[in-house]
Amino acid sequence: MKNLLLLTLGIIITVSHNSLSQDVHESNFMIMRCATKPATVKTFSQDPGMFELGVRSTASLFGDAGNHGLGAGGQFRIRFHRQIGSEWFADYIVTDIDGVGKREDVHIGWSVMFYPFKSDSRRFSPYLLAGHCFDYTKVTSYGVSALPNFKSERWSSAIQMGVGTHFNLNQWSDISLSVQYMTHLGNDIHTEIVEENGLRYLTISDHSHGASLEGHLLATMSFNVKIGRLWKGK
Amino acid sequence: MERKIVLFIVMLVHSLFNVSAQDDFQLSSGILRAQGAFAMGRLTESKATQIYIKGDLSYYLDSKVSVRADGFYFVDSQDKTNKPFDFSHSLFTGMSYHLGKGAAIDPYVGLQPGINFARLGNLETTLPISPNSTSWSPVISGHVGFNYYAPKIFHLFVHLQYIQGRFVNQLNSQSLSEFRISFGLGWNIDVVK
Repeated sequence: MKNLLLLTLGIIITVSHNSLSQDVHESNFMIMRCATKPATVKTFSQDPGMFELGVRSTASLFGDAGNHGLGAGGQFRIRFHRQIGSEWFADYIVTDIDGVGKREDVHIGWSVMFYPFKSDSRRFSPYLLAGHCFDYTKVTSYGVSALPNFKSERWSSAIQMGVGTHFNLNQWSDISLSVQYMTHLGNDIHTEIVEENGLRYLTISDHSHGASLEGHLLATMSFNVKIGRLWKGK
Repeated sequence: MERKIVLFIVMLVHSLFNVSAQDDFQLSSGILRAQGAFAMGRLTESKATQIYIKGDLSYYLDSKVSVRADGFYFVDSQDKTNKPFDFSHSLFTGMSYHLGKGAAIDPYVGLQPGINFARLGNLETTLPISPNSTSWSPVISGHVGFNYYAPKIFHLFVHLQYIQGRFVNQLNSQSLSEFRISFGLGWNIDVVK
């Protein structure tokens, strides 16, 4: 994971150093030419109605069990106003629980993004985000299918809040980094690592009565391309 | 004999990529490039060497940014005694940022989320579960490389990719962290002109 963080950091620094020193070229992206009016040179569009498609990687950090997970997914964005946008996403996240179990999370949800700064001439475009998602979680204990609860799954709902920023590569694309805390509102799947006679295994108990506020920190890196405007507005 | 082969390859490359003819080459939006090649991978944890057939497709939004997708089909491990996976296929989508000035030599860096589909190799178990279970694993990767464009439809490429991820199933977990390198001849056309 350290290697990857260093690599990501290196690439972003290289890209930002290189792109900040050059003018923005007007793109002739075919889909854009057909679907939208060309954006003005040297601006990064914040036009209402803009529709974007993207792919994303998500790291799940500091969760209930303290293990880190990695996820992949996709998203689309719709901009409602120059300072308000939305992000609709789906992620599949896998976490190795200390070598004795596996946690799988599927998040399907949406966030509203608020951009405090109006300028559309900046490379960086920071935002606050808050939203809701539906969440499927499955926890499996390795190699102990003889146990009564060697696996457990649940559907629940969750809310998330965080901060992020777009780094505009050109008029039509950006890399976005965001950090958000997600709190699950449904039943908790509680796990515990037990050691007996030199053997380590994972016990799973499904807290099916009463809601618990189990949560985790999510760090997301995404790459997005503006496809076109769904409607024209000011 | 080897010298003759090397000389032949050098002459072939020189004739395809005539240096004087590349002065007017300019990268721009609308360039679509595709290529296929063999790729070699080295897993950082198990030190196993894996062989893939690789295909990728990318489209230039402008001379600086391209969107790309890469697919790797696992062929085999080089060493049969060190074969962590029966198979390990993967698919990536993301972007490349091109560092050059749009000329024929086109260095780039990039990031790609992806997904890996694999099955562990050399597994035996007494547990009442199948050792042959497959698993999907999210992965993330960064890459560096360069293209060397000929005037018309060819380019040479060298591509180095680092992949980070972890295979997890009910029997074991195994690092998917790997360096992969590929090089060869690719095709490119301008779909906007």
